[in-house]
Formats: sequence, structure tokens, C-alpha cells
Amino acid sequence: MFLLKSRARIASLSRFGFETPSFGGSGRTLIPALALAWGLTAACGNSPPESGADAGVVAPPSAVPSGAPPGSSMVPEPVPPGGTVTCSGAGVPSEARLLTRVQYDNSVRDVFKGVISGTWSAVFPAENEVMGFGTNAEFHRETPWLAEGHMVAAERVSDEVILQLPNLVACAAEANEDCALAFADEYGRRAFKRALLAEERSALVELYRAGTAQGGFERGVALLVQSLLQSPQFLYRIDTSRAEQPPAGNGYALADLELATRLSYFFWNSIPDDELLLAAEAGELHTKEQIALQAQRLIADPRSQGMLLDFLRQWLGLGRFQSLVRVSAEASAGAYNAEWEESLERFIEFALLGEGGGVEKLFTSPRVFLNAHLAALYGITPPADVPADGYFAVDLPGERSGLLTQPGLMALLAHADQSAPIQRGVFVRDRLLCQPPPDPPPTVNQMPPQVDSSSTTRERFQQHTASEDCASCHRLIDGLGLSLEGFDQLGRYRTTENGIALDLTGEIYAVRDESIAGTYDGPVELSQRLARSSQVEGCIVTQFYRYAMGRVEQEADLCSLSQAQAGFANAGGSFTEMLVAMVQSDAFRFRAEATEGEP
Amino acid sequence: MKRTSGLLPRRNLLKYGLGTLGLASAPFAFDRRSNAAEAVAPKRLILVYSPNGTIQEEFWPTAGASETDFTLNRIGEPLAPFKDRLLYLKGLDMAVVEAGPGGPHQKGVGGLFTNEQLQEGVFMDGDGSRAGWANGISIDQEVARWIGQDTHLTSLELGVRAIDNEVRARISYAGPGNPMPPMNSPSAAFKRLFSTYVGVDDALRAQRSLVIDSVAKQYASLQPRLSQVDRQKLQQHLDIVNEIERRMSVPQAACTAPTAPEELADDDETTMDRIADLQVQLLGAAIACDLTRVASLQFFSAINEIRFPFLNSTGTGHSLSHSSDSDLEAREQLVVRHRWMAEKIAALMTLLDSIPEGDGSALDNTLIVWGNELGLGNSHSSTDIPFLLAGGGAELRMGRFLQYQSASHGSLLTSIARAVGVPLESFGNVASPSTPLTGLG
Repeated sequence: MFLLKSRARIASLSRFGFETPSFGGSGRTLIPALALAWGLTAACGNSPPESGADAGVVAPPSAVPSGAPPGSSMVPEPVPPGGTVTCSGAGVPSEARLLTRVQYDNSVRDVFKGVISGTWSAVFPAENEVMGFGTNAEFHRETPWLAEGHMVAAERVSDEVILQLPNLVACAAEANEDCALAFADEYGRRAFKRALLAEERSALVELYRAGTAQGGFERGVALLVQSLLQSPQFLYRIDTSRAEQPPAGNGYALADLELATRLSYFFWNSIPDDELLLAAEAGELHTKEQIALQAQRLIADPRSQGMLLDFLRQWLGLGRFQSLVRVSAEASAGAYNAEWEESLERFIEFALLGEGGGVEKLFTSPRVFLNAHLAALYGITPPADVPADGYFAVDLPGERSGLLTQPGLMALLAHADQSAPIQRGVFVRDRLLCQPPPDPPPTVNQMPPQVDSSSTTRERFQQHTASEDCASCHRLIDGLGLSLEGFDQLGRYRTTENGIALDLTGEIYAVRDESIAGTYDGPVELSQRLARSSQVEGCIVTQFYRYAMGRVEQEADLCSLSQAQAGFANAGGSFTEMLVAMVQSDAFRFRAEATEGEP
Repeated sequence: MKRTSGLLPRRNLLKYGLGTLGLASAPFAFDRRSNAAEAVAPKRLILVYSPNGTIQEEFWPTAGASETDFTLNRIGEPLAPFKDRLLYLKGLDMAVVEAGPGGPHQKGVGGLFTNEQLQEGVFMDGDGSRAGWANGISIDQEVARWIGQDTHLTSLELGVRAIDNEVRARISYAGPGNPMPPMNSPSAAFKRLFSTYVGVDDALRAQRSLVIDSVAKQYASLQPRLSQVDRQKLQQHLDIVNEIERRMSVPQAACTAPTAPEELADDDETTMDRIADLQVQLLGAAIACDLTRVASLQFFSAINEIRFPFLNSTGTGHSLSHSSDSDLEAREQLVVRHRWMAEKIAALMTLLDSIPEGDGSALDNTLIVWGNELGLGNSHSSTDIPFLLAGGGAELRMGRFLQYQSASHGSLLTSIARAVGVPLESFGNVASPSTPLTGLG
């Protein structure tokens, strides 16, 4: 059970409410070497192109947001086990959030109690992505294409609703206005995530009457459904309550009903269920304890799995499996794509979300999930009793150690015909350490070196980036990526390449968590270091926060990030306990500005 | 290329591939001359984008003794049948990208059709610098405000594997920070074109109007309780919804919907050639049915990892574009890719030329503009942007190769608008010159 209250020593950091200043600092991840990229004036690997007026000249960045170098991310300060983090209650700005495609389909399903379901959003455009996430409140907005999609989807849903009407309201056979109103009240409350206001109700009544005049009861109800599903009260999550003026310096506490909606979309990507709505309507959903109790319930519901998968796909870029091309004697284009993704998702579900799961298991478990097709590729004999779905688990200690050694991930982070040490190093830095490295200067030749059967990939890439100008930045990347040379572009484990023994040593360099810095040997040791790093934990907190809160972290978010990180620290790196801590954070419970309007 | 028949001959549909869309079996008997209100053929604009710079020597023609005397080089060769309808414009620079946030690809793709800088933001470019969306409306959307109001779709944005959902894959903007996403799936685009509006009867139109009116009331009920940010965001949403109601009701010439194209994975090197063909055909069908008069066709995202195995070109897009000029093998791969895009533009021109309009064809009244966010990929230069105009436009004398001395591409954008009957004097960023280009007429 998750315990927020600390047992052990209270650590420092005055700005976050700690008593001593030993954790002082902005919490922002800065890499000293980051600055090097801007000074580069020569190309790496290749000579500059012969033509082009600005060849070989790299302009310095012209507009760097104050204090934040390009590419920087913020991770929370480490929190010791048992620590609590007290924030000021100032909250962060709250912006209306348009449903994503996943949220739309889930919400329609749950508004109508699972009686109808479908992938209605297939006709919607993809969401704009910010740092990999399509959930950003500012960047996901209505467009003509999406509005037409909302219209067409609502029409299709209403057709289904009419077919299923007897299963949705008891009075369907009566086919009168009273029944339509009962329908509007019940399903309107679910769609709008609160009871209808008088004027909302009267607009629906008016529409029902007009529809009925055109085509009878069913037409009236159909139009009512279409209106519900195209109303901003359904399509957006909006905080509109006019709370009392908060004490100076503090934010506005969200209303219970707003918290119910935040909680259900946080854990389920869907509308609140009856229990959440009832708790909120009864005024029993605002203390941290009340929120934590509901959070535990929501995360235990299977609907949370869909949310977590959606997060994983965006965090780790799994959408790219769709278009992956890997060339070798064994794999033709696309032959393993769906299986690699399935295998990887099963592993993460097992290691991060399953029994005893957490950050440590994510990076140290020797397990892989394979079907017969993948097993043949990796030279594994399937057990006699393969489950009906075709996938079985096998432990490969020494060879595999967690996420970074998963066959699917290594295949994803590769070139078509060879491994991709640079991509792999950048992945570790950006997605796992939240220290995205700067990209190469514009004159660099980014073509991977030609495959050559007389050398190793490491040798070819190192030759490519050996010049002094390149080496300073590549130290940030290569020290992480080159040890993963133990896996080829199909995710196969290897100790030699072209008959040459592989050098899998590396260096963790310029990281914020100095306890993991230094040289190491091989992917297993790299993974073990990451498994115990507060920086990795903090980065996972940041990545999830971007996804769930729909924001890129700013100074104002940092304290709440630390509150979430305390969930990791207090529960031995349990991912789900971190989520429960995040919904009790100030950023989740408060917003920074008031809504306007009449008192 | 004069035509006298008002009907689209069946043989042309088959010849140019519309038969595969089913157009031939359900010929859209679209007789523009039967529409008395349209004595003058409508003007149209189609923007075409390709990323990461070009191979200059093969893109530009070799100049001869006069403007009209030029020889197409390898990228332009597929357009040879329409040589007298091409207008190459060399020497246009994108000065607007010199300042403002973002990296070279971002600034180029954002500024190409807006003549605006980027907003601050968190999208990351290839050099690590960050930026947001372009800070202004793009020329197609500006033009659509003038000439796009009489059709069901104000504009149509199509893409071929332009799958990145950020600034690198947006060329069209309805306003500052307000991009229009391209549709990369022909089957999705087909549904939008031919089932959302076409074939909608009066009863459904009336129902939709009732629903939209009711939705507007729900907005009104929320409005007093919204923050300023939310009020703006939801007002924009409501404006779009109200626009649907208006567009739904514009009078439409009769048009029989073709059967749907097949469902294809929209980010796949084995389907992209087919998708490009289908998008060209859909564009032709949309214009034949007069469903839109403003469109864009976007090949890929700025910076991408796309390969062309069907052209034996297996380098990945952006990496390839950074090859040294002396890497002849890489250069050859880039030439065949750009030539492939020229082939698709030629197919579009052929299709438009097969649609009779007045005394000529729809091609006479359609201006196609092909651009790129960079001049050269390997140096990220913003000079000599490869601009090609094709088709026809008011006061445009086609069949020429013009060479300017560092003229501003903003001026071209203004001229594009004027060529389709939109009387702009300037366009975009005030610091970047945009008075009309001289010498086009």
C-alpha cells in the first residue's frame, strides 16, 4: 500500500519545502558539453560540401528561451526513500484539453456503458506531437478535418445508439419526450461528466423536438446524441469552477467534479465512472487520501492497461514499428514488425506494471517474450506448452537485461542493414535520462557508414566521428550506444561481428546522477547502472507527466514532479505508486489561474 | 490543347488511371458549361512540397539564348510534354528564415508558403534548436479565403508519408500557430471528399444544421465560465463548426462519386508509390467535381528517413541529403527521387488537362507551385529555392526560365495570389520584401 507520509529522515531543499539546502539547484538538466555543439564549425566524418553559400558555417542559435538551452529537459530532484515533498499549492495553468483519438473512442464506449463500441476516431487526423507526446493541451486543437470527423463519428454513433436504445433506456418502447429527457439526463451526465445545467438541458430538449418533428422519436434522440458528442462539454476537459479566492501565492483548488474527470482521464483515458461521479457529487473527492483511494481503484481496473500502453507507445516511439524496414537474410520488410512490438509491449507490461514490477525490474529482468517465429530467429527452442496466444516467456541471463536489451527495442533502434549505435545512444539520453543531446551541425554527413564485412560497426562509426569537433558531443552519445552493439539490427545477441570480437565497453558521461557515471563493460552492466539511478526514475516521472498532464514541464511543475518522484522512492521504484503520488501532487490538484466570468 | 466537348471522355479516365478509382465506371458527368453562373472558369491553386533541398544542376533547366529557350535537365524531364506551361524561377531566396527561432529545416518549411518566422516552441530541429509553428497564414489558406468559399471544401491538404505531426510536416496554416494537417491516406481523403458532403440530401443537411445550432448553444452556455485562453480556443472550434454548416450548403454541380480506393498503410515504402498516384488522382477528381479550388500535395516531412527501394535508392532521406557533392552515388539517388516527384506532377497536369473547361482544360485555370524548404540539403542554404510554376494563371507567361538576382520568395507568394485572382499587394512578414515579382507577365 502506498504511504505518502514519511517515516525516515526529512531531506533538504528549501525551495521545495525541505529544511536544509543540500539539494539546491534548479532541477533542470544541464549538460556542460551541450554548449559545444554551437561552436562547431567543421563537419564530422566528411569534408564539407563543395557548393552552397553557407557551407561549413553554423549559425549560433538565434533564439534560446531564457535560461533553457535548446534540447534541455527537466527532471525532479532526487528524493530519498521516506521523504516527503511539500509544495506551495500554486498549481500550474489549466487549459481546455481536446480529446485524443484514444480518449474519444474510450469515452464514447463508456458514455454508453459499453453497449456500443468502435474505432470511431479512425477518420480523425493524428494529434500533433510535442516531445513525442500527442496529448499536449496547447498543440492538440480542432481543425476542419477533425471537426468533420467529429460530425461524421457522432452520426455513426447515433445510428448505433438508436439500434441499441432498448438496452440503454428502459422507457425506449414508450418513445415519448419524457423518455428522451430521461435519456438526456442519464447520458448527458456521463458525456458532460456532471449533471446537465438547465440551459444545456433546454438546448437538448429543443433539438429533440425539432428532430422529432422531422422524423419521430428516434430521429429526435439521434440528433440529441449527435449534439452531446459534438458539444465542447464532451469533446474537451475544461476546468470551469469558480473557486473561492485562494490565499495569497496559492493556486485555485479544483472542484471535486473536475478532479473526478482528471482522475479518470489520467488512469483510463476516459470519462469518470459512476463511483467517481458520486464521490465527487457527495463532496468526497478532494483530500489527498480520498484521491489516493480512488487512484488505487482506477489503476486496478483493466482500463488502466490501455492508458499505459498508449503512454508507452508515445514514450518509446513504438509507432515506428509500422514502417520499420530491416534487411538481412532472415528478415524481409515488415516480417517481424508486429511481433517485435508485441514482444516488447509484453515485456514492459510484465516488468514495469506487473507483480513486483518497477524501474529495477524494467532494466534488469533477463526475460523476453517470444512466439515460434521470433524464437526461430533468436535460436530459442519453444517449450512444449506454449500458451494459446502463441507467446511464451524465457529468461536469458547474461544475454538480456531489461528494456535496453529487448529484441524489439534493439530492432527498432537500428538502420535497415546494420545496428544504429548513435540512435541507441540518443534514445538512452533523451528518453531514459531526459538529457537529449544536441543534433549534429548542419554540414555533417549523417549517412551511416557503408556496411563492410571486414570491420565492426563500432569501428566504422568511430571512424566516422573521430575528429576532435565531433568527439566532444559524441562522447555523450557513443558511450551509451556502442555497448549495445551486442545486438544487431534484428535484435539478435552477438559477441562477435564479422568474426571480430566486439568491444562492448562504454562510458556514462556528463549525467546528473553522478553515482552512475564512469566506464562500464557491456549492456548488462549499463542496464544495472540505469536500474538504480534516481535520474532515470526522475526522467520517467517527467515523461509520464508530459503525457498525462499535457504539458512540457516548466519551473512551476518541478515541485510537483518531485512529489511524484517521492512515490518511486517510497515504494521501491514502483511505477504504479509513482502514478498514485502524481495525482496527489499540487499540479494535479490546483490550477494557477482563475477562470473569468460573472461571480 | 483545346477541347470542345463538355463531358470528360471515358477513355481519358481509363488512360490516366482514374478507372482504378472507379471513376470510369461511374463517370462524373461534370459539365461546367451547364452551370450558367460560372461563365468564367474558376481559378485554382495547388501547392506541391518536397523536402531537404534539391540537386540544383539537375533541377534547373539549361538556359539558352532567351527566356523561352531552355533545355530541361534530368529532374524536369518528365514534365517535357508540358514544357510550354512551365515557369522556372531561379534566384529566389528565403530571407525570412534568417532570423527567428528554430533550425534550418523548421524555418524553411514553416516560412516556405507563409513568408513568416516561427513562433517559440518545443519542436526540435536537426541542429537541436527549438521552435513552434509558423507565425502566419500560408498563401494557399489566404487564397482560399478569397476563392475557396464556393466549394464544399475550402481547401484540401494531401500528403504522401508526411507523417510527422509537428512543424517539420506542416506547410499549410490557417493562421499564426494554426496548421492544417495533410491527409496521408487516400481512402480517408476519399471518404472526406465523397461521403461527408457529396450525396448529402436536404434532410441530412437540415439535421446537421439543427445539431450545429444546438452545439452553438452549448458553447454559449459554457462561455461565461471560461478562461481567456479557453474562450479563444473554443471560439476557434465553434468557427470551424459553423463553417461546416456554411460549406455544406453551397450549391454544388452534380457529381457522381467514384468508388473508393483501397485501404493502404500510409507510412510504408512498399505502398508510397501507389499512394502518390492515388493522391494525384483524388486531386484530379476533386477538381473535376469542383469540390475544392485550393489544395496542397506534400511529399514527406522535412528531415525524414524515407527510402525508395522501387527506384533502387535505399539511402535514408535526410542523411542522403547531407551527402557531399562529390558523392556521385548519393547524388544519383537524390536525382531519381526528385524526378519521381516531377513524374507525379506531370501525371497531375495530364489529368487536369483531360478535364474540359471552357474552351480549354482545367489545367489552364490551375496554378501548380512546386517548392522546397531549402536550396541545397547538404549546406541548408536558403538561396535558389527550387521554385517551379506549372499550369496557368492570370498574367503569367509560361514556357520560360527566369533568373532573378536574390529576389525575395515573399514576392513570389504575392504573385501567386495575384495569378489566381487575389489582389494582394504583399504577403507575410513585413521585414521580408513581398511586393509582386516583376517579369512574370
